[in-house]
Amino acid sequence: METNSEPLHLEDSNPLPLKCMEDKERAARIQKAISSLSPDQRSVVILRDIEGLSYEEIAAIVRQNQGTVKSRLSRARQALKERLRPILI
Amino acid sequence: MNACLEIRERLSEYLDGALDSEEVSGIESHLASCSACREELSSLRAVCEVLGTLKSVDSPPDFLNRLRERMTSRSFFKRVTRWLFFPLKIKLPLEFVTAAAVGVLLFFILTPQQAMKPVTAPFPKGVSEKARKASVPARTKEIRETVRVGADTPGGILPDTSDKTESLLEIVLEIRTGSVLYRKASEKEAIKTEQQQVRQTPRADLAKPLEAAPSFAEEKAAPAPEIKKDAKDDAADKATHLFQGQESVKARVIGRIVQIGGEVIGSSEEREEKVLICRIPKDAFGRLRESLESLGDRVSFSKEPLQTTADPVEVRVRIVFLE
Repeated sequence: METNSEPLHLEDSNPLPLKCMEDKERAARIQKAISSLSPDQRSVVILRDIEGLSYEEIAAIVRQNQGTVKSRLSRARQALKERLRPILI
Repeated sequence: MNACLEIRERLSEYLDGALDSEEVSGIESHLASCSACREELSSLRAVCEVLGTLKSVDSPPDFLNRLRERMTSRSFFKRVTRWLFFPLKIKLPLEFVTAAAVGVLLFFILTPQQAMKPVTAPFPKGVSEKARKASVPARTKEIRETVRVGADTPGGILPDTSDKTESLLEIVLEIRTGSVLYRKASEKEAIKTEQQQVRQTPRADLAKPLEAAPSFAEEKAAPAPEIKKDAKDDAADKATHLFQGQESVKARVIGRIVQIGGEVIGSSEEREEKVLICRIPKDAFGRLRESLESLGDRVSFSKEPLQTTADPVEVRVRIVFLE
């Protein structure tokens, strides 16, 4: 029986354990930062940056005008920027 | 600097592409000249990118149904508990105070009132002083029946009678210490009556119970053991009188027992209570009770000795001194 002298290259498509852990930790910190926002700011940020909804849709959901949504989003992002500074590149 | 603040407030919208072309060009021209605002923009963008890495999590398919179910089916017990105790900071102290108040109230309601002050009813006008004095009874007697089956024996030198009779007959004689002091005023008379009674008693074994319990005269001659002789203050004097008064009552009870043909077979003493165990003829129980009634303020007895087959019967006479 002929044996193949070439070693078989199999790549593990899963991320490395260390990277996995880092990602988890990062996600936890982001979650924590979002949780620390006020409920109004939190809902706007989640709807915009995570769910990807438009200003119009968000205004309809939170029952506020678009100007309020914009200013809340702006303040929420500022606050998050301060809190997430350590993990931002 | 003001321009920077204004620009930074719009950066969030700029990132989202929510500004019109004029505003965009204004911001971009400022960014070209201001490195601080450029930095601000890049960090804001980083924030948005970081947030974008989070995945949107869908709620479980039956989330709303389950939520509604939980809201409607919250158990009765939990609702009541919540209503009763929350907020804890306010309701718990209130409940403690209420419980304490109820406890105090119950204590006062349930505690038997010992001292019953004699009530003198107001007399209608026109009744003369003489008629008034005549109508007031010298002493109010109240006979209370209590059934005490197998009443516990107080400590002392009482003989163990549990094996002889099923349930010991008991007479409780209640005397106010005030009236004891009052009686002391007619001590001589008491001694005379006692001696007379003893003389009249036809029984041969008369000396026996008197040995067991010294007579009134002997008791008085002996110094009171608990009271110092040199105590001069009124309180001590009063206590001495009281002590002697109590002894005199005891001696008189013994006299009555002997008079109806009984004998004292044991006695014990506590602070406000003296107990005599005596053996009397079964049919003399009623007479003993009646003769004790004239001695105390209140006499109660467990039951008539009809049920017991023994003759003579053993009777415990408890002399209770009330304040």
